[in-house]
Amino acid sequence: MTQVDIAPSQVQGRPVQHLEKNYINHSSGISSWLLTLDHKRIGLMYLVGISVSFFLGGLFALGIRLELFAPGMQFMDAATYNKVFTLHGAVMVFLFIIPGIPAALGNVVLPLMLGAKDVAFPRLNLSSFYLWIAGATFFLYTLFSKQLDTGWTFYTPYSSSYSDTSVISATFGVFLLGFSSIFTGLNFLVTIHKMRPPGMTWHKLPLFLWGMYGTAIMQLLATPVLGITLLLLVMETTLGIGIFDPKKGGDPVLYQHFFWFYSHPAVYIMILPAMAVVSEIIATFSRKHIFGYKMIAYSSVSIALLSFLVWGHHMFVSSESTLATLIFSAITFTIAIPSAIKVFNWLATLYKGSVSLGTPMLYALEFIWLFTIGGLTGLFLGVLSTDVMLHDTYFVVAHFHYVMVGGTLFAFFAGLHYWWPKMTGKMYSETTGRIASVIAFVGFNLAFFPQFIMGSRGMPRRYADYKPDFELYHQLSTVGTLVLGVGIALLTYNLIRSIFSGKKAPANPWGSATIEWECPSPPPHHNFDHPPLATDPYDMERVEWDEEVQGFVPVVGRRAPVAH
Amino acid sequence: MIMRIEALLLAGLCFFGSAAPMFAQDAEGAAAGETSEAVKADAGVDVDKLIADYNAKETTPRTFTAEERDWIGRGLDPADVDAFRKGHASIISKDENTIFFLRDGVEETISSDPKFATRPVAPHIAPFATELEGNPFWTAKRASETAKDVDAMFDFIMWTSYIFTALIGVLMVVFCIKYRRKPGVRADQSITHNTPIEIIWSVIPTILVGIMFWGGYTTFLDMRTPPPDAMTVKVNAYQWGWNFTYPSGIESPQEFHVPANTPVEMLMTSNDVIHSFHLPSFRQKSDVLPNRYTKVWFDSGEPATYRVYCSEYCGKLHSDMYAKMVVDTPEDYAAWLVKAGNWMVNDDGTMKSALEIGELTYNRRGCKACHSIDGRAGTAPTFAGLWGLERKFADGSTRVADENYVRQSILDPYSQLVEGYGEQMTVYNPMLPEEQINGIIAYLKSLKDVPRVD
Amino acid sequence: MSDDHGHGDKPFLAHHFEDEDHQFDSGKLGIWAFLVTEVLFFSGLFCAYAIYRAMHPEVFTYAARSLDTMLGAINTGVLIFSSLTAAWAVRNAQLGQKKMLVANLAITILCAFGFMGIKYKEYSHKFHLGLYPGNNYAPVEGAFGDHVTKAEEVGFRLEQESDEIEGEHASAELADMNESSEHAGAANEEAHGHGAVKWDDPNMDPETKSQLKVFFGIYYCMTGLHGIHVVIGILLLMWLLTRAIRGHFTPTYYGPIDYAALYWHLVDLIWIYLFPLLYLIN
Repeated sequence: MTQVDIAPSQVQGRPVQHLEKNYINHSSGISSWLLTLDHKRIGLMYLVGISVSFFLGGLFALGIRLELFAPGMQFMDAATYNKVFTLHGAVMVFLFIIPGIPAALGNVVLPLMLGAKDVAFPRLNLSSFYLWIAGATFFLYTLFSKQLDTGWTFYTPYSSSYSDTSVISATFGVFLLGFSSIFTGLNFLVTIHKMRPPGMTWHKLPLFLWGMYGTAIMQLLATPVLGITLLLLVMETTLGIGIFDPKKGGDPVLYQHFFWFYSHPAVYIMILPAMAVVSEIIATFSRKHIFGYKMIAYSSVSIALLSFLVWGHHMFVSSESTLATLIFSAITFTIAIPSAIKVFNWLATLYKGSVSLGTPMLYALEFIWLFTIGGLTGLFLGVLSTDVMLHDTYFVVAHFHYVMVGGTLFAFFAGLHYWWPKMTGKMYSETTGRIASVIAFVGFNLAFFPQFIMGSRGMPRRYADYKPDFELYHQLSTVGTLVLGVGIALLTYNLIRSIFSGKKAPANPWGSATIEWECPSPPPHHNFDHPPLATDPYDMERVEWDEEVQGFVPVVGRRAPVAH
Repeated sequence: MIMRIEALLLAGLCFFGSAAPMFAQDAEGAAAGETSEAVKADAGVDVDKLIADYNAKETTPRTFTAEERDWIGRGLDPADVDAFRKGHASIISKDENTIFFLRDGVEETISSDPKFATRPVAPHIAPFATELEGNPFWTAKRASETAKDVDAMFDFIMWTSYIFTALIGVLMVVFCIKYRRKPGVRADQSITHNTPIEIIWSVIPTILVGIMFWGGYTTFLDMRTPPPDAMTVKVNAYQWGWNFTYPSGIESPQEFHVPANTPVEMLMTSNDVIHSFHLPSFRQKSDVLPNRYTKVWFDSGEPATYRVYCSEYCGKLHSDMYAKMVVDTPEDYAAWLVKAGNWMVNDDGTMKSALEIGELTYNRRGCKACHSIDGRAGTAPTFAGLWGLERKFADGSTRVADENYVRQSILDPYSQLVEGYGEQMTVYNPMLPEEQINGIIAYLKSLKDVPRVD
Repeated sequence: MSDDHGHGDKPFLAHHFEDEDHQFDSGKLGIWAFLVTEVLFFSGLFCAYAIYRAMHPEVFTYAARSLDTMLGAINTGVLIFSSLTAAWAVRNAQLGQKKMLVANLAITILCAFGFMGIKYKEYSHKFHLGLYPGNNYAPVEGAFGDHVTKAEEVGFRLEQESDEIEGEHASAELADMNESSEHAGAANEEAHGHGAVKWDDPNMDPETKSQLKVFFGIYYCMTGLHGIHVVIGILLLMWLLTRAIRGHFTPTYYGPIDYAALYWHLVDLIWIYLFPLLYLIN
């Protein structure tokens, strides 16, 4: 086996820079990819899948913004617009953001970080991927049949009895995607519990794994409720069982409760992995021990648990009782605190660090800024009195884009650039990477900040047309979207170019002390021959810059011995 | 970093925005005192003469502000300007070249700019100048005490946010510059945690959000509790329009009036999907549900005109589902109520013709949302050329579209569902009076010869 | 699979686990996590049930009269027995008793088929009475056994016999019952005074009527979803049966049997909740 080569080089303290055989070229042929049980290959296939979804969702976003450039209908009619915004939301949420960090990056990184050879259940992992493919296929079918115009929330009774679009295929697609997500979460939960290397106690778990652990809990506990809800919706639409449709004796608000019982935790399924990525990057690029490790770790788990108790804040104006609004509003604020603590901890990590503004770090810093705005504007929506005026306006749209795009997407980009050398074995152009990052940041703010203003001035969301008084904000927003698009295009170009002409990546280009950087880039098929002994994942002094390999290498004498 | 500048700019604009109404009022007050001074507008219109002519016809002479004189100079009739004040008509928007205004539910434009002529806007969805002028930067006009309470909290959170974003942004930039990577300088590894600091930055946000939560909750209780003397207007929302019913039974579609400075409670329900009644200037909103009643209340404040939005996505024409709310003086309100109750009667007291009633019914009752008159089939069959046509139903049977067919289709639409269409129509039983059914029949007859596209 | 996942002498030990215990423990945690997911999956339905029952308790009490408690009870017994054999199978696998393992798995599968058979009888009986789910819901007169005297006897007899007779006979019997129930209805009214509400009366309050429909919507969803789980269980157990016959399981490798048994216990447990909630509420 090829990885026998590694052990002696690791003992010398200098991992071999490039091996003949790695997980990418270890076997060839289409079936060696499609039937692979290797977590890294599955992760790469996910990455391709979600990237395609992301560009599809991005095209819809472009359609929305161009249509809204001026009042009156430009190049689509209202019915088409409704389909475009629905598909944008549904594709982005279900096909891209939710699987984005956990399934694509997590699959590659999580076992490596644990020094494990694979996730606990490789076959389940592959079936998660094919469930994702099946879900995406249902979405494609939806796209080529009668599309979807219900909004990604599928609110009843519009979805069950009024929409004449392909609600059934879309909901069934989401149902399958839900199970894909559940199985990924289950796999990661068991992997983190059972596959930790010797020496990695819970308090030596890298924060990325804490974040993934919290995510897995939410995926396991919340997603099945979405599954049953959508199944009931399908039953309602096809058979008319009458649970959600008032004309048949049901209650449409019950649907909203069920839906948000999943979809609020889902918001944290999206953001917790993002926070987890940022925690790693901030520490690595500051070359400093993360500040307040325990607070960050516990806040991940507390966010995961509290996220189940706040779903009602989506229904403050949907005939919820005053007592219920009181309780949900109060719990909503308790979840704000752990998020704030994380931001302060990241800032404190920078303090007296040795900060390098590499591309991943730029994205991480932009994440902090955007997430701060996204989080603070969440306060307006958690406060009962102000939520009444802001609910279902562009303020909400801007808020969740700051959290999901400014937060999750930017953290995804950060993580992608951070682990790209590990995944592909190639270095991208730093200069182009940084320029793309700044362009995307400027474009994003220009696209979404004006939406706060028009929202608080009353512009409702999901409007195909608007009055001239909101024209300026919409135009700024559209211009911003185009700038953001340019940034993302440049980013894509930079990464793809690196595959063909990038420099060979060292094992540890950034100087992180977590285990995944101890194997070569890209890793061999079985990752590690022996599980490495884990120490403090933020003991940055364990590695130092080596001019010869153009990367960081373990300090002789300080590096962890290999366990036997 | 850009964001920080943006925030500062916005903060500046915010200050300017909140100061603007004061300036506007001052200007108006000053101008009102100077009405005797002759103001000649361009295009050679003699404003004084027009005003004199107008006042000659009126029992009480009326003075016009400088701004109003400007409008007259640009071609508006003084009678229209007077109507704006009374709420019968309103300025939609204006700039140097163009004035959009609304008279008796019809939008009119005076413009030298051809751009605006390309934007046909249905009358009831037009915006209203009263909501756009002189509002605070971040929000719509504050039309009631409740709005002021809500905005006080809004401002508190906004300033908290400004301070925290500025703090975080500045620290981030400073740290990134001051502690940038330098050769030979190592990070200080001794700082891994600091319990006092961590407690402080947990407790301070907790206290702040505690204040926000409690303040928001108390205002919310006020917003949910209408005073006992509130007048009630019943609201029926449907795809895609609004119907308002007064206690006296008078109905008004797409537009409702309320007397000034009166608490008003809206008792709302939906005929089909979920809608949401959204009044930004009063900071009020509630979903309108098909299986129960929901309520919002507000104090109507001074006479003005407002836009009501539907803010819960409800299907194809969601973005056209506006209504108009007019706050009237008590006299105007009483006059409007009489007029609204007699919409089937001409000004001279005679009944309108069946065709006129039919056309009005078609527009008022929301038929037009689904049944087109241009021959194109939509959610529902087109009305064009329908009369006398043989209809084929889902169960295979057929029937000629005659009086009885139309009547039954209105009162019990699902008993004869045309092939290819779903059960989506509002059942107008016992809602639609006899005159209006006759009117619809007459209207359909008048559309007999319009060609059908299908 | 192109990947080498074997450990040579231990054919079922995956390459990324250290030893059999490691693999077994991981699988056990995985199956427990999956069962938690399953519980939450059903929780949505239990929640819907609780809400509608709290809103319309009388509707639920009434509609439950159309369910056959006897058949439900038999099914409960069948499932509990199959749970026992499943647990026994795990013990057999641990002790390496291959024959007993195969026998116990086979009995469990047979019980599962028995359960589905009885379920089929119940469903088809309801369909005869017009108690379809959703839009096709159109109960025939007497579907709820309102007409106590003769109709109840006929209805009762019908339920008893429907186990043996084929569809056509059942329809004939049903027509018979409808006829007699007309007389019986009159008798019933006399017996119970004129104020008694007939639930399948066309003049019945439409809201109550639609709530009856919601009850059957929930009934079919809950029992249907449970039925799907039983079918999945059958497939799973059959796969294990073939593996057991081939002698794959040893005292050190019996994880799949253990996990499947845990799943089967959950399926059993959900039925134990469904039975009283749906059948025994009066």
